[in-house]
Amino acid sequence: MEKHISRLTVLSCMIAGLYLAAFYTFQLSTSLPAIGVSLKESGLFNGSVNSIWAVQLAFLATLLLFRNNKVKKQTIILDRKSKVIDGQAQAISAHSIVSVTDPQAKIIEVNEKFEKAFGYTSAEVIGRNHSFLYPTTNGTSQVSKISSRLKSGKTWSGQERLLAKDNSILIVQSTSLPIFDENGKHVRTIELRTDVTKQRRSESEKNLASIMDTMPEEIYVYDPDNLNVLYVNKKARARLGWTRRIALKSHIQEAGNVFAEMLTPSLLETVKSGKEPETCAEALLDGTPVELITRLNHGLDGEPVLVTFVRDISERKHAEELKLQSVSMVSHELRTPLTSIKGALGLLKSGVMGPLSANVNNIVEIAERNSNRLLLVVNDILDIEKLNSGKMEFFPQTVDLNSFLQEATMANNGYAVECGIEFVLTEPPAGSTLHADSDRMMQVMSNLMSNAAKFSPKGGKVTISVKDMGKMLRVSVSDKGPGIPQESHEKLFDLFVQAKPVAGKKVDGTGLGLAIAKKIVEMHGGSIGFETGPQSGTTFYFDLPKAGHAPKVAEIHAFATAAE
Amino acid sequence: MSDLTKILHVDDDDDIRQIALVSLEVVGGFNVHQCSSGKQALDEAEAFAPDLLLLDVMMPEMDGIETWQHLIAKESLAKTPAIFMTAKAEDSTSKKLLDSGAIAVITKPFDPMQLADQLRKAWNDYFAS
Repeated sequence: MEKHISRLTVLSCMIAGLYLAAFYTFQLSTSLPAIGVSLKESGLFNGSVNSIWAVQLAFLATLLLFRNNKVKKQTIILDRKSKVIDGQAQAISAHSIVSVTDPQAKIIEVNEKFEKAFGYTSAEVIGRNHSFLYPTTNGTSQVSKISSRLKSGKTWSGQERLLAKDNSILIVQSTSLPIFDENGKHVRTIELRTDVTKQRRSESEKNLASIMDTMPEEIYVYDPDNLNVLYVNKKARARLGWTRRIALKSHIQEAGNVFAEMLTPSLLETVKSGKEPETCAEALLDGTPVELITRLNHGLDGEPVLVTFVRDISERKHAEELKLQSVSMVSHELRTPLTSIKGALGLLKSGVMGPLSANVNNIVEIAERNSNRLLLVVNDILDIEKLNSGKMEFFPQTVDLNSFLQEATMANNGYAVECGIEFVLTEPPAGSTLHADSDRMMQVMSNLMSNAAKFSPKGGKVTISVKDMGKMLRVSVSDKGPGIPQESHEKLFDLFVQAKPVAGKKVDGTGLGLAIAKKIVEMHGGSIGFETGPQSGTTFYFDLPKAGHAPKVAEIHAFATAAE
Repeated sequence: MSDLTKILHVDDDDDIRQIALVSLEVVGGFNVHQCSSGKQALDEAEAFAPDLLLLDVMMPEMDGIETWQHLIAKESLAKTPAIFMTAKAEDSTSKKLLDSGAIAVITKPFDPMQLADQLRKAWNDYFAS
């Protein structure tokens, strides 16, 4: 029953529809005579002859009219939407760094902002996998990590550090949007980036400045070329009575004479060239002993800057002084009994107290040898302490190397006799003179010559020679010993280090001699080194500036005494 | 220049005095008078009338420098040269002493077989200059 009603309803509706269509067609033919005439003329429509055709045509025309209106409306809407989207795209492109990549992360398109920010032309980047924009070697893994997220249909957002063509770092806020086709296939990715480098740097600068303001040291940041101040921290401003504004208008040398004295052209050249990562000097600043550490850094904008830390070292100096006094006192307390021991043994051995049997003499020699060794340790510890605390006194004068080395050969002849070797002095080039403390340099020579004698085979020769190195003179002491094992090379000049014995040859020593020699040579503005091989023996050498090129001892001495 | 024969040696350390006595008398052949303190030296120096003062620097109560100042304040000893012995190995100590008029500074421990020669050499150099 229900089925019949339903069919009836549909049929009624269709008839009603046809009626309405006929009505509208008639209306149309009267209101649009042109269409009516043309339809009549065409023979397709004759109100009385072919009413079914007329109804159908009228119906179609009505539908077309409706559809046309709808399309027009939709086109207008689409136009509006398109304009909005175009505007948005332009706005995004004007504001953001935009790149479009394929699913394999190859760049398809970049905007002008991209070119400007990274310094590449679009031709240089299109077709490349955009992992090259990442500064670390894991750029590829970062790209694939983002890609896998995008493939799953999710947007990726985050902050990234990217590399521009000039190797500068760009800090960007990135958003990557995956685009899918109608089949749900990932076809491309749009990356939108905003350069936040300046903002981040500004934040970092503020953070850095507030950290540096809490530091107990005075900190100065200045231009390495014109030495104009770029920043001084609170501690420095307080001493100088500067405001931040005054600081920015100042020259670093206005911060104190110590800067003028320290920042010599040669020091600036050394630091700027990167020959030494940092330089350290001691000085008096308003009567306080300070340490000035200067190093070349790069600011957050990548530009080179010089940074000097000025540290109050009065407490350290005081502690060093106390330590030196203690060591000096211990040294004195040890020397006094040693004087008696050595004196007694010396008198016994000499026979002035009566003849000794061979056995007794042998035992006395052992005792004397070891008391000498003990004295050497005491002397060396005191020396190293004086050197470390800057209290070793230097009295530089012009030293003629020829006579100096002759004296060294004579003074150390005892070692030659003891070890059964011969010192051979090669005459130095004419006019070889140094500006040095001859006593201290004699100490260096004694150390090198005694070592060479001890390590030489009996009957061997130790050669002492001088080489002109331009502004420097090289003094070498060469033996034909077994050489220094490779594992001892690195630490040979460290405290309490002795080369490993070779071929069972045990050699006495404190392990301080070379460390002292190195310090003394360096205090003269020179350097010490060695060349060794199992067949060729060992050559220890030191290079010192020729007289006239060596103001450094006096400077160091002045620093050491000024800080007292 | 007279010969160096009489030496006044002042040192508070008994053992060192004994060693020095053998060095100076037996090895060096000098006439030696020894004192264990500055005060004793001030009491006995003039009577001994030494050619040379050999003084230890670090001594309790009155150190070597003070002893020397008091000794040369005495008219009969005013021109007596002094040599110091010190276990303090600092260059500044030696320099100060030499600048103050000491003719030599000998660092302890000294070589007992060389001590006499060291004194003679310093004496000769002083009078030769």
